[in-house]
Amino acid sequence: MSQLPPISDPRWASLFEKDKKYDFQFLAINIVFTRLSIEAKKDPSPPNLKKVSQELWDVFQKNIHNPKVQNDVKKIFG
Amino acid sequence: MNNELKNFEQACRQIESGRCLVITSDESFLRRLPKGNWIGATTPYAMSSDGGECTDQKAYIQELPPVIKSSRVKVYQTGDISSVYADAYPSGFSVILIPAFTDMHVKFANEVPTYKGFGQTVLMGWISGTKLDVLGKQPARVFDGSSGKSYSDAAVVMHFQLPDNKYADMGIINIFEPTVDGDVLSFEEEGLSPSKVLVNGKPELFADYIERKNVNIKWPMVSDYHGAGVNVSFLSVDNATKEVKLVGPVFRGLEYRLAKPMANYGAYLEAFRRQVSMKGNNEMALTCNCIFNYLYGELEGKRLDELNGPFVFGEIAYQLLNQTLVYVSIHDRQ
Repeated sequence: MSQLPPISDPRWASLFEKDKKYDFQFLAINIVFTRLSIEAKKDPSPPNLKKVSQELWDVFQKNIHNPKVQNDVKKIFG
Repeated sequence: MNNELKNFEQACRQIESGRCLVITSDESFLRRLPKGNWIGATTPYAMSSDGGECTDQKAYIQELPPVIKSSRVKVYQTGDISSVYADAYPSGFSVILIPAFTDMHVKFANEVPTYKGFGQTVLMGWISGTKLDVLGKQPARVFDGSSGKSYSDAAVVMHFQLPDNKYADMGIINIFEPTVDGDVLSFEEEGLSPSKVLVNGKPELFADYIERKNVNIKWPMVSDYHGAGVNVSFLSVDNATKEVKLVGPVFRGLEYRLAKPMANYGAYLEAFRRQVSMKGNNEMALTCNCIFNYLYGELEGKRLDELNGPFVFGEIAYQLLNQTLVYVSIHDRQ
């Protein structure tokens, strides 16, 4: 099973700092990442990036047993 | 799977078995059913192994697999629907049924992505409706079979608990693709009835754009959610009042494109087959498909391979979707 980087890993916040297109497999991540990216664009302040990163991490963490989520982790973090 | 259209006697027997059921039929059929471990929603349209049909003499019954550890039904009002994700079993999934054209429908559509715990557990379901010729005149209803009560303004949810060695997954089959070189549409007003649209960044009344471009509102707008195409369907356009009504909400910050049209039933069938082959082999424990696919795909009396299930008035896969088939499957944890 893929290891999920901890929420303290700065790469979570950096996901929202670039305008990169992903091709996720897990539907909840498609939806949540899309919405949170819009929120991060509107307010790129560090507290807001921390908030959206936490929300995204929670979805990954709760579903990490799903192989689609493990593939999405690999897509982002290699 | 034991999911099929059943007559009244068969439906009663299945309820008596005690298994968890999700039932769709005409209101008159659902009202006669005995109390039991079921929830229900009005829609008389379904796809079965005999093809698509509209019937008030049968119910489409989806029986949850025996692996379900426990379940509980909860009826939500607009004041507490925001806790629907938080109330789910941590290792489980939930099925939500909401009546069409109600405050609950609008509230859920617009606000669900902000609910606590959104996306952390599977929330699947649909919007109930009526026969199309009385849609909007006769209320859609949802049923709590455990109490025998029905509602035209509340959401009925069945929360399911799975054993620790199982998990639920949810997928969508969206046969629509955006036009590649089409206009990029975006919206500053969120919701189900935006008056203006930004067409490649330029503002215009949405109704005027639809008229000027001769948009066929049978086909949805599609937005790319990082690899998942999510549709927003048109309900109506009133050129006199310039009111455009949508079946799902548009959101600020997203880009939409009009979908490529589907010619006929053959095109629908081919598109569904293509999407199914891309998704791999999933045993579908629960499904729903969109009433617009039944209508515009001319599916009455025709089959969609094994893609059976009720035709509903808005599909829910975490959030409200349109013109999409939604399914839940149960898997072993590795």
